[in-house]
Amino acid sequence: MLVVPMIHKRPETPKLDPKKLGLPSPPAVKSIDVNPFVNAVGEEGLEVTVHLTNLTSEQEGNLDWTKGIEKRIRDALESMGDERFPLILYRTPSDETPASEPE
Amino acid sequence: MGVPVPYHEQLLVQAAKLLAEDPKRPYQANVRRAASASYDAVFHFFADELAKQVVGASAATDSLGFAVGRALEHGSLRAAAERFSSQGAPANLPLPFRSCLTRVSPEFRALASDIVSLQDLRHRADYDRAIHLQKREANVALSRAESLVQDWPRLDTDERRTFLVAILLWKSLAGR
Repeated sequence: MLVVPMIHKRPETPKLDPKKLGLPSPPAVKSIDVNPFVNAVGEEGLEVTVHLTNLTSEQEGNLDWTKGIEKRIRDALESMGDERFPLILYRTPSDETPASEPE
Repeated sequence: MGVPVPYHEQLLVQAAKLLAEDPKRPYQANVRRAASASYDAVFHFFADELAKQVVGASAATDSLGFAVGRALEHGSLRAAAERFSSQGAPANLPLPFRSCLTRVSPEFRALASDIVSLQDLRHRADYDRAIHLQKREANVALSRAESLVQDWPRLDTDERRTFLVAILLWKSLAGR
């Protein structure tokens, strides 16, 4: 009997173009990186890093603007047929690095 | 003697205190524990809501209520929240739940989505030292956890009841 090994095709990592997502603004989104990661229950999720041009102190203080971005990203992934759940992180050029931690 | 502050509220206060600890250059330990406490607050909030649903509000803080709360599992909470957060809900729910709801509101979908995000962030915060967690992430987590607890009573009763039963019985009914 011929045994055919089952090959599970790894789903491709989707590309998210901020210009095509109709993201609410401000803040302005420069680019979005998407990378697979293993989520809390050991399944594959998507780590989505939203690179922002900058944030005002008001935007840092009231993060409600993240809700609109997250909804658009989740809806876009679902409409692509990608059921992996996104973990969305926001980064600005002035973010802290490990070196900026207190000593 | 006053009424004790609910455990989930204590966790939210703890998260806020950790984030206020060092405003300029936060310790990763504080940022991570704040993100973690925010999710834990949501988990214990649902454990309490579940107890109220099953044994009633008056018994929810008795041994029987705590026993019901202990039945809540992170995996079931997540699995149910993922399905409820999808555009496909309620048609994507396990069969016994499909006829319980005619629709899942955008508000409930957003709340369910927040549960999953909070759990994922908590997992990263607790176990993944390779990522440098920004204070912003923990602030988002805290703000979502606070909103969730605040908004929950205002959501549709059928959605809330179905979700609570789903998180309790998910393992038994998911395959049906």
